[in-house]
Amino acid sequence: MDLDVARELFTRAGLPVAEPDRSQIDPLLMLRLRVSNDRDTSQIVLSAALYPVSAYDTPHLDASSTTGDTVGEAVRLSIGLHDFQVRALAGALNIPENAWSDFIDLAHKLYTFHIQHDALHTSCERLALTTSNKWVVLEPRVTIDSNAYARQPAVQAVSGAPTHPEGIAAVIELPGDIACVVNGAGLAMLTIDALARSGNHASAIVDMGSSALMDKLIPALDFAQKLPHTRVVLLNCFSGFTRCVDIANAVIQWKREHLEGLPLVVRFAGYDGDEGRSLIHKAGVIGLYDAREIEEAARRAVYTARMAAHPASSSDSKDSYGDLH
Amino acid sequence: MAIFIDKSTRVLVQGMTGREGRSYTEQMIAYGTHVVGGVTPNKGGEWGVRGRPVFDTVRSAVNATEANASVIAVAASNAVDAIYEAIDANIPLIVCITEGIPMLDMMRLHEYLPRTNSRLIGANCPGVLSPGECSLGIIPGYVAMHGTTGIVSRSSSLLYEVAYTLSARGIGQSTLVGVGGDPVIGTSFVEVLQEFEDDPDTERVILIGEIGGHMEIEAAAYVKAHMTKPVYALIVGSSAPYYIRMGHAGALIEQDDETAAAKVAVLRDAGIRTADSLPDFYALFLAQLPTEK
Repeated sequence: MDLDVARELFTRAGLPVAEPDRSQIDPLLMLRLRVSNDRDTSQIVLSAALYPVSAYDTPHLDASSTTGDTVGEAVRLSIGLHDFQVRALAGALNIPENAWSDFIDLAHKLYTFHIQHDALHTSCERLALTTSNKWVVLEPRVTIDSNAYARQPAVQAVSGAPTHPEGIAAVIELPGDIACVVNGAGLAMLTIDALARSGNHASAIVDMGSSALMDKLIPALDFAQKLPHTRVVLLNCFSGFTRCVDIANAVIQWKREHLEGLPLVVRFAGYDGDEGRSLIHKAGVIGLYDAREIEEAARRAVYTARMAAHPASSSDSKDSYGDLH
Repeated sequence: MAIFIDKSTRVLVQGMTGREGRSYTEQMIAYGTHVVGGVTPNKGGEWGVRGRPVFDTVRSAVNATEANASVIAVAASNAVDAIYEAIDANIPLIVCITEGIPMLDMMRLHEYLPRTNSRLIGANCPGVLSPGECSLGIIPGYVAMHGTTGIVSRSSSLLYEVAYTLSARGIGQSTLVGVGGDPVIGTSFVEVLQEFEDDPDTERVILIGEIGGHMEIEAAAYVKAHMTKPVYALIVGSSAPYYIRMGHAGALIEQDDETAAAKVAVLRDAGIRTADSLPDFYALFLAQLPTEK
């Protein structure tokens, strides 16, 4: 979530956010104060680390910018954050005692913000204690749980809901050439791993999710074909309940209507997978290729992408795809 | 025998009258699962899929049917309420198929579950299937065949993929468990491994993991310390970048020990034969089988 949105949400929650022009601030202390969800323990973690005061104007801070260790306190959701935990952080960070009271108040506000907004991470990446003993958030950050958007109207009002093409479960943009249309996250990872082993990378994962495959197939292919930086579309499905024959017929018809579009490599498994693949194979549609295994589909897609990028060099490529028909 | 479920399991479907609920119930009944009723608030007294009675509440359904398992097939906005209702009715085994439950809700549930009489599998999971006995959830029955290999997976699509391939080669399974792809889930790899270790009909276990979190690392420690049965692992996501959620809410690398390479190394160190691609996985799994049969 971008800085302006985070700043707006923090301000509405009463957190002391600095104006973008921070020339008036004279920091005595600089630190990072974060609230995050620990997936291993199902507890909330409040953590903090000091930066040197000179980090005030450093453009990019990371873990190596801190001075000393990160200190943290685990908070049970059923119990909530207690003052003693914040005092423990304040003591560990050598925060002057006359600033503790406001620090405790700020930590509680940050924790409450995190819970009330269904956040995954909430942080004051740069939190300054000024020489006039005021706490000021210079760099607010928040990541909201997308599963909770529906019950976060305040977040939606500020940032807008995340958008996916209709019917598509998830779109993940990546830096390669090949758009992977899949049904399931595990299959998606298996597919991009196979592409990487074959020497290329996905430009995106378009995940149709695990249900109602036939409703999502054509919108997903339409979407994948228009993705930027994409040379080939690779469709990899394990179909649990939809016959691959039906998927194949829909794919063949779609490809015949999009002969000028990107090449499409198809790999099926599951319900009538072999029959579906056979239909694709026999269809003889230009730019439509079938594969039996994921690795084979990946090699085919990588080769086809290379041909699309450098048509003249493909014939003498040492690792060209061996069994094009 | 199998783990978690068998022919005696009596199943409720919470959300039976919805579109997904109807479809899941049809599939479970077709597989031979003993579905005894459904729960949909305000539809109590109606007849659901294939004549199964529908109740307004889980308590009344349990009283009438003696159900001992529940499949949750309701929208994400109602799923947490449905899980708490099943826990309240002392249902021992709850499988939540629904995806999209907020993480904080799952964390609260996770904190509460040890104080209850219930086990939750999922959410965002395909469920559990013991071939020839019972199916709780949406695992397609034809991918599995009865045998002695237990499979546990975070990913549903990979669970199907691996089970289907093994079945085609005549290697059957004792139970298939999809634990779910969210960062916080009801039942971990370790808990499923414990069950497989204790199950006399399971001779070996396949663990299908991925990037993100530390469940595979915990599983490695458990296997090294406690398991007598051979365990094989497939870890996907070796090419996934840091800080990008790879479809599953839980498939996110934020720390170095959450990468596929780190997990493969730890699993191998624990003596688990581990691959990061399907061809390598099948090669190492099938190569071992003759000597173990």
